Amino acid sequence: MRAYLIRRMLLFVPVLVLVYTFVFVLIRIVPGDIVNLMMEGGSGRGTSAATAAELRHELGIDKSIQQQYAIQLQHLLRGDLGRSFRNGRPVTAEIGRRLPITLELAALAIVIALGSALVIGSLAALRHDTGIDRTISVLSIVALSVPAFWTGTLIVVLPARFWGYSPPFTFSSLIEDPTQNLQQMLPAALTLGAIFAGVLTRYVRSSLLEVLRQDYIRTAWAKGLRERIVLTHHGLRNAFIPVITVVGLQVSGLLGGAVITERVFNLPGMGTLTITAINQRDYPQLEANVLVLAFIVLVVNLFVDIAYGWLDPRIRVG
Amino acid sequence: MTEGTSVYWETFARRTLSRRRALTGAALATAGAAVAVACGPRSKGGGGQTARSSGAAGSDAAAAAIIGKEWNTSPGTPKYGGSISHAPTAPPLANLDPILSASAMVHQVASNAYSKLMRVSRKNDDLNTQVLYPDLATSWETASPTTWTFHLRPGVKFQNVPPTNGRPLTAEDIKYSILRSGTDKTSQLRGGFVNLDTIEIPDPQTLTLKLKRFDSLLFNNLAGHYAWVVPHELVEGPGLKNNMVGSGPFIFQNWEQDSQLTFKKNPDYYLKGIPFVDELKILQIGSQDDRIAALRSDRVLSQDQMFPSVYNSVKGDSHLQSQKYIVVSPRVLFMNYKEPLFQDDRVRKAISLAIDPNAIIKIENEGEGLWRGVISNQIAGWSLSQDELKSKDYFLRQDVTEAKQLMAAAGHADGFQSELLYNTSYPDFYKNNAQYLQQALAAINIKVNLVGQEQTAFRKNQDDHNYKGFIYGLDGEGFSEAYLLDYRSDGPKNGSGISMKSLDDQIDQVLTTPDETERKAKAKDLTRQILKQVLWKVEFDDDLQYVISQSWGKNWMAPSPQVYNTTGLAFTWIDKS
Amino acid sequence: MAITAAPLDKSLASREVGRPARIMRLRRMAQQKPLGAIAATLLMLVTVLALAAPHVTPSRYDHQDLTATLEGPTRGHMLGTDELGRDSFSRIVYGARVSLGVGLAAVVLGLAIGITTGLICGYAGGVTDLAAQRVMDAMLAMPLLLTAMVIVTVLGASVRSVIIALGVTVVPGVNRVVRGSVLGVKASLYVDAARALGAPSFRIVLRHVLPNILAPIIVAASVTMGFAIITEASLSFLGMGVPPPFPTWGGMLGSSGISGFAQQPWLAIFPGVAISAVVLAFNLLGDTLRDLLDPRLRS
Repeated sequence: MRAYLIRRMLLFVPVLVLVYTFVFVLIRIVPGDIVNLMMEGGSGRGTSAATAAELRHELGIDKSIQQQYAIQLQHLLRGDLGRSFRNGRPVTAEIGRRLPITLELAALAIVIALGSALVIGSLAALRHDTGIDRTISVLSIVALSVPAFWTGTLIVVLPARFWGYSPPFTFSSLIEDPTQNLQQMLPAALTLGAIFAGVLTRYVRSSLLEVLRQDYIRTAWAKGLRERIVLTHHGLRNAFIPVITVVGLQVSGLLGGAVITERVFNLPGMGTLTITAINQRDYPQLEANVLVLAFIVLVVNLFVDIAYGWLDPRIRVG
Repeated sequence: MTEGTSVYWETFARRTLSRRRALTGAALATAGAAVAVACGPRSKGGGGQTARSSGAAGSDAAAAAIIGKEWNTSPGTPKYGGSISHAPTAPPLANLDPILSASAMVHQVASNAYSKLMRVSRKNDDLNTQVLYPDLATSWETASPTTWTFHLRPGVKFQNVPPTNGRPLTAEDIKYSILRSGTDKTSQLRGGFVNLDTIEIPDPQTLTLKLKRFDSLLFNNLAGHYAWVVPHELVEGPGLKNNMVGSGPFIFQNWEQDSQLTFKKNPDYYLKGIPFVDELKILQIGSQDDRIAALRSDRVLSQDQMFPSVYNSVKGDSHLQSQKYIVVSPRVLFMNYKEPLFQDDRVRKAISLAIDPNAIIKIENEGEGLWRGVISNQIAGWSLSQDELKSKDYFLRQDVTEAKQLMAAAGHADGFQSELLYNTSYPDFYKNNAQYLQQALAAINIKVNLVGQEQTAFRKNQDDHNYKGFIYGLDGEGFSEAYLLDYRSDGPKNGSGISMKSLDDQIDQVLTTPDETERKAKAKDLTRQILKQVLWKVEFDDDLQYVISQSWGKNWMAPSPQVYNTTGLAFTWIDKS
Repeated sequence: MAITAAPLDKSLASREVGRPARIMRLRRMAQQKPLGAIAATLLMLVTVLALAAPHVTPSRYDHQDLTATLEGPTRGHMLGTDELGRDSFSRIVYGARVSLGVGLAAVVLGLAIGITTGLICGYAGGVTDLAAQRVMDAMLAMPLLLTAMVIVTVLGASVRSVIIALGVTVVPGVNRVVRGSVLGVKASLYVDAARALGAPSFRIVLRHVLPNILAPIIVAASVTMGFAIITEASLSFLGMGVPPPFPTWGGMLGSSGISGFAQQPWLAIFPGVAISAVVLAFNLLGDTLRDLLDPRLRS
């Protein structure tokens, strides 16, 4: 097992290097840099080319892409992810502030999705081929077909229009002010979670169906065991296995969906930080963000693989 | 402490308080009516607004007296306490250093923690007129057009937080700050100080600026956002990117990037009783829809630049109050100066004639707006009249027949192909008008391809004049004369890349005319010339929009258009009765 | 059906075979899978509308009428007008062209690249495979929307860049399916080849692989269309999608100042409904196809 873990984690390295290089090169190809942005706006006589050159030199972006890459790679190997072009603070500082917000959003979304999927999916499987089953099947596909930015914006805007209520647009951490935090987070988590719930419900339903068809279940039925006992002791545990993997595989999708949701609900998470970094050409911040997000996805996938092996004795990893 | 002594301390405190108030009143009396009523330097004096007495005794009357002389005042008894949340409309904040960015947001934020020589506000009962108020300078005079003397307010202190710890603010500090804005290698505001020669301090209460040439823009910019007074300890120490320590009415507490900035009332502010509220939060809300929702749900104080339809939907809501005002629409059509096709003035005139400003007004502001020719109507007295702008002498009007004739005369009856570059980062503003322009030009056979670019790349291409044909880009938004600057070869928003020495000279002539009346007349004449030749740019309109704010926010009005600040927040109070 | 002893009408018997039989089979499938049938019908309808747009819509998508801006649904404009006075209904119908066209092109591009790389990786193995798999891992490690955003930003917003961006995000999934199938086939073929003392030729592998991957690819294609449409809409919403004046459903929903949701709700509802309905249809279709084509689930 240990060897397996080490081997898998070693494979992280080439993947992360590829991701880093991809973003590093691409964002520098895009026309315009942060200095162009700093010169935006204002009245009266503006700034001169000399100021622009000075600023670029300070930030180190007046060198060629290869040179910058070599320099940054050295920093990276020393564990230095650099400082944001925007405010000069270490990029990790901002990530440290924003990552928990995105993680909270993702966690809430997963909880909402899992909770509803387990209940609704099981219901559908137990009432297979009835009206309830068919309704649930359709509704779950509807849930994952509706774009998050649409539902999210409607959730923000319609209550404000008709009832003078909107979720708060400033973030307070869960510890500081749980009411404010949840008022902002829950609508966002619901938006994201609803889509995810659609995906999960289908998996819960189909894997539970498959399990229920197994011989040992039929034996339990025949023995006259109550439905609930059959379900929980025998059915759910095995049905849970594919669901875990789906949760794991969806992590990167969840993080991507968080981008839009954070924007709509004005959550200062990794999603908005990354969009702003792209728009403002904050190279170090963008690169660090992408590395962190990719790392999370890789770790979660690894964890899922291990958990899969642990849950299903038939499959052993390593 | 025994009961007896506590009573003693209480009475002592009360006496000291009232004595301090009396002192303040005296200081104001000497400052007197040294408030200018219009933009631009004047000789000493000028009528000021009389303080409106609230009729209440004690602190409220004193507060009302203060704001009467130092800022606008509206009827009502100021109340103390509470927290205000404000969400300005501007692109996101990069960092907190005012000289590193010419963009609006940082200055709106800075105006709460820092002070400057003068303040600018719209006039209470006429939003389209401006008034200058004292800030660090209580009065000023111009011995000659190139010698400006400012008399400084005594007893001003920096905020009582590190690194300044409440030390007095001196003329040296002001000089230091002006030079920082004007000469620091990384200052984005440098261009505003090209005509500054030296700064002298004849005595601790006086600051004299000596200029190479008279520069009306510089004077206005000193009241604007060009010279926030910053302490050298902060510059030499942790820096200004993540900190704000100044002498302003609010003390900076915390910056949560892309979320909010929090401030607390400055108890040692030199205007006693100001600010009225205890806490200020500046929110960063990116989406327009979200900001409107926040307004409706009473989460923010106010929104400016609101469309007529928003106003119509909140008209009946007693929780909100609205004021109508003129907002410049700084989006203009540039023609690339290097494009040979545009060298022929007939082509340029035809292009201008193909477009109907009323269409633009309809699209972007539901039909409520004014025509604009070079200088915005925002501040009365500088722009040509609406009738004149619509006359046959100019080409702002739409006349497709005449346009086609001009094109034919220029040898382009069949038109030509071209491109129109526009900004995709603010679809609210650019997308629809760009599509209209495409159709309007098509009517005279100019077939343009729409090319969209996001903000940063777009800005770069506008600055480098790196586009084919047309760019639907951003004009300057500044003091009235500043609009002429964009026609200068080194103008900051010279999107067309125009470079005509004769024009540069004429613009300088206007900007260096000391007398305001004369300057206005010259500006108008130059405007007429520019419009008659359609010098590579077509400006369209100003929009009639609304400031919508919560009814409980008293004495608040939209910031002056010429400056980026939210100074008014210090003079706003909350009254929820 | 009751078994009758009536004599067989020979003429009837001859008519039952041939074309009517196929229709009968389709009808039976539709009865079994009503949702799939509805979805397929809806998609066919949308496709027809999109292709025949000029004939079906009351006005062109870019016909501006500044005297009739921001009107609600009326007789002349079924779904109202936008800020430029353009007919919303027409724009939604034309918008179908973008959504379907871009989605289709992206899926085809993604499939082409994914199948090719999957075949090569699976067959060649070794370093090529290892390297390519790391690249795929890298692509999967980044949230797909972000990857698409970066690509569109680099290439500049245009139909072509959106197709490329979406197509690229489709590749890893397809690659995995194809590669897995190739590996499986190769393993079984090696046994035979070992007997014949020669490695199986690429052509033989291909012949065995293709029928195996056909079913999952078709299902994946349908579901991926849904994903591509939503991602394109999200890009348009963020201002990075297909540029105007061509209408896109996502672009019509994007923050547009005056036509912000708060003011003109009809402009916000219908494009959203269109996106949801079409994506829903693709997902339902994918489900149905999987049920029909995947023998494992046909129980």
